[in-house]
Amino acid sequence: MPDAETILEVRSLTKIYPGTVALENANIQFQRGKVHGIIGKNGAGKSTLVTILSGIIPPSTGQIIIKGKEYSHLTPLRAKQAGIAICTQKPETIPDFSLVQNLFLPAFEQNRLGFLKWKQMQDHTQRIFNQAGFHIDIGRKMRDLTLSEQQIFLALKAFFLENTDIVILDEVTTSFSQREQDYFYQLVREQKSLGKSIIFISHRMDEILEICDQVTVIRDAKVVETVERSSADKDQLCSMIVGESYCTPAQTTQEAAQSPFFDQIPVLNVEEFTREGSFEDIHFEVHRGEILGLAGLVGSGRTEILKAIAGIDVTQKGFIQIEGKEKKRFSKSWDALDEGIVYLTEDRDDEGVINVLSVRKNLSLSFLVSIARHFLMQNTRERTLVQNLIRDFGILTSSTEEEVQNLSGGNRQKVLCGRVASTQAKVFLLDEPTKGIDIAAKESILKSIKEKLALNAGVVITSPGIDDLLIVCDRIIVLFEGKAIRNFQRSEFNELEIYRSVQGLVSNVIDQTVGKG
Amino acid sequence: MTNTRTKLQLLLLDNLIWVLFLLLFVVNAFIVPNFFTFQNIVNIFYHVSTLGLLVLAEGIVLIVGHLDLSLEATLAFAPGISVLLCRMLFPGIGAVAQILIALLIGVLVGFLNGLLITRLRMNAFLETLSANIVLRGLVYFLLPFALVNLSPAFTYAGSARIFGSIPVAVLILIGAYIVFAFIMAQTRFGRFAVATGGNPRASYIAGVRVNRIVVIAFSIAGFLAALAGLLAAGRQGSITNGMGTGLNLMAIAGPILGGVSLTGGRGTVFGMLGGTLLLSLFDNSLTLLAVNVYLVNVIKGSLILFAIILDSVKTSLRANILYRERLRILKQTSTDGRLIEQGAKGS
Repeated sequence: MPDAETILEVRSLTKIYPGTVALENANIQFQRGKVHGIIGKNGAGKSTLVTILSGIIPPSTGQIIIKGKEYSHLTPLRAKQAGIAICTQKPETIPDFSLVQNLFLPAFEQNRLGFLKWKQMQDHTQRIFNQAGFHIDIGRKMRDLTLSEQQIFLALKAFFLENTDIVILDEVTTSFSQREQDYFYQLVREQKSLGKSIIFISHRMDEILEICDQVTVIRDAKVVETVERSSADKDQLCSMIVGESYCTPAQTTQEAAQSPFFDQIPVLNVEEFTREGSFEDIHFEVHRGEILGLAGLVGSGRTEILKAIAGIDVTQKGFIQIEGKEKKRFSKSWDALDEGIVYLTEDRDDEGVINVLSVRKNLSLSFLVSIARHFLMQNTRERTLVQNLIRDFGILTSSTEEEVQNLSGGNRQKVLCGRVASTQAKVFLLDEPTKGIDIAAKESILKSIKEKLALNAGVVITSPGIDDLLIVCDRIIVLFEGKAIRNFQRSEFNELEIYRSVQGLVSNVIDQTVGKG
Repeated sequence: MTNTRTKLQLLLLDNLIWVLFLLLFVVNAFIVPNFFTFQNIVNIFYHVSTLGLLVLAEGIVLIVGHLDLSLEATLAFAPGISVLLCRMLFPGIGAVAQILIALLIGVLVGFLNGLLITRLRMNAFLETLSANIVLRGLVYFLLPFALVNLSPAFTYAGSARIFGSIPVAVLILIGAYIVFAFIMAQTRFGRFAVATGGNPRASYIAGVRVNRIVVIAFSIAGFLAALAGLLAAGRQGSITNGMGTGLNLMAIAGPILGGVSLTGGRGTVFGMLGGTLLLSLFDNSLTLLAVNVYLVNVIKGSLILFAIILDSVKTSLRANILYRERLRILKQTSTDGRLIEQGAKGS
């Protein structure tokens, strides 16, 4: 029986997609005046729960009970009327509107003749900002605010203006600085004491433990347990999140201690890579045939480091060495490509595939230069290579001429992998190659990486979770706040231990041998 | 895997402009007097030779994802300044040199446009709009109403006819389309151009020198605008300072009619030719029918509007055809039709 304090409850909530169960029989009670944390690995089902609660997708079965009223599903409008507000990772605002306009959008205050009451709205905004201690000029445009300021702004809108009882904060703090974070926690605590319920979704354990009163752990689409903050500890939570821990099967002792690559010249040697505010003094080596994993939370510097190596974003300090040749740093993508370093972006649709072009033209983009004779293209050669890539990566398309935007997400990802693989590079930098795709596509991509890419090259791979890294990597470096803090050989792989490092829970900090193979 | 019916549907949809052109052509052949004569058909081409080159120029710039509003001024600026310079500085210089200098000026104008847009990250619309005003202003300032007494060799391209009655201008137009059809389909530049227009950031990461591609595209556009200027000057036997005024919008309408996307990445030279010819066909038949010249503009404007509507309808039609095709393939390979239908929709 829900007690009097329960403001929101989900009962036997299940969401089934063709081929996969995203959420299975979830029962959670959210209390009034509490901060309720939800934590779990990537793909555990957190975002499915959030999208159901915000009314974007309907559940397959189960009920949502808000303040005693039962719903079989919500719509965005119904969720709003019932008093649920959501702040997401990507703030949705209108950049060219002022803060006042954005705050009141779409419910502008009008007088009886339909004129907008700007003065009142400005005063109201100023009052809210004063009350919340948010010191930003109300006349500024939204685009002048940083990402974190926009997120705080939207949270203010949910708390003060829309006056909602239930506010879902979906990983909003990932880009926050320490000061913003302190401010935000203070804000959340104040709102909590006013009787608001806050659902706090995060990847970061320290944050969950700092701010939440209760924590629900979700693993493999199921609710594992809801625990009180007072009775939870980090280690216990880590084990609950990770579940059945993955450990490498026992290996022969002589292999265990050292990497099998230690006597070779590394195909890529990165030293002293530093960029103010993103990453600091990164150094590692990759050998031919080796797969190196970079594990870390969002904002730990994974993407930034790979992009800096590939010459896509420049960095101020540090250098790389390819096959032990001269030390250098790239500032143009094609220079890196010429030297055999290729980067696969984590942002598939904005920076990866070219949606309006055909599968063939997408796949051949990076190898055209190497097969072209002078300026002309080699059409038959191109076709053969493209056919091979489609076969090797199992890309499902009705023809090579189909536009990439008509393919499913997993197949678009395979096209991107195919393009990167076609470059015959010496070093592959793969930034989240398995992001946002289904299990079957993920397995086939991981297989291709292990069996094709790593055959003749060094591979550096990142992943939002550590599961994929455990499967393919020979070695994992853990990044935390821009620094490399731990180094695991395959023989030392232990999911719980790596997960704890990713969360920054390392007892003996920075071991000097980090990064050396 | 694709069956023939789907293939045919897609073929017709992708070449919709030519389907329209042929339809209109046949209708005209029956209802418009003196339309279906060899001379008139040559006229359709001759009439459009200047605009056709501008359409090609604009089409290439649109494909790389930008817009060039300075073409109509370049058309007057390049030949005008070339002849003026040569008369002042090198009085004895030959017509061939004048032509080459004119083309070079066109390339330089395009090159500068491209440089300002890529290096200073200026918005192409605003940059080329300003360039258009500046160039036109310079032409008005420097040129008398018209430069006359052009040498016969200078006007040859625009006025001469060979093989009986075929204008050289028509051969240049067709030649330019063939050359650029080849460049866009068979060279690295052509491929990188669609990639750049489709997604510049992704192309950069894939190793395409996107800025260079954009600068080359603008330079080509400048070259073609200068060539169009030579044809226009040749046809009228003089270089007038108002030459080309008002052609910009038609130069944008042509590629759009021919299936080039305003947002870049999509379009073929063959389609652009269809767009050009459709514009010219309308002009020609309405003139032969003695329709009022202002009404002709109304009809041409409506045609452009129609093209834009067509473009959005085409996209959804295309998606629909492909969706049904995917469904058919899935159904063939699986027994559970209902679940598959859900899956296909979801993807």
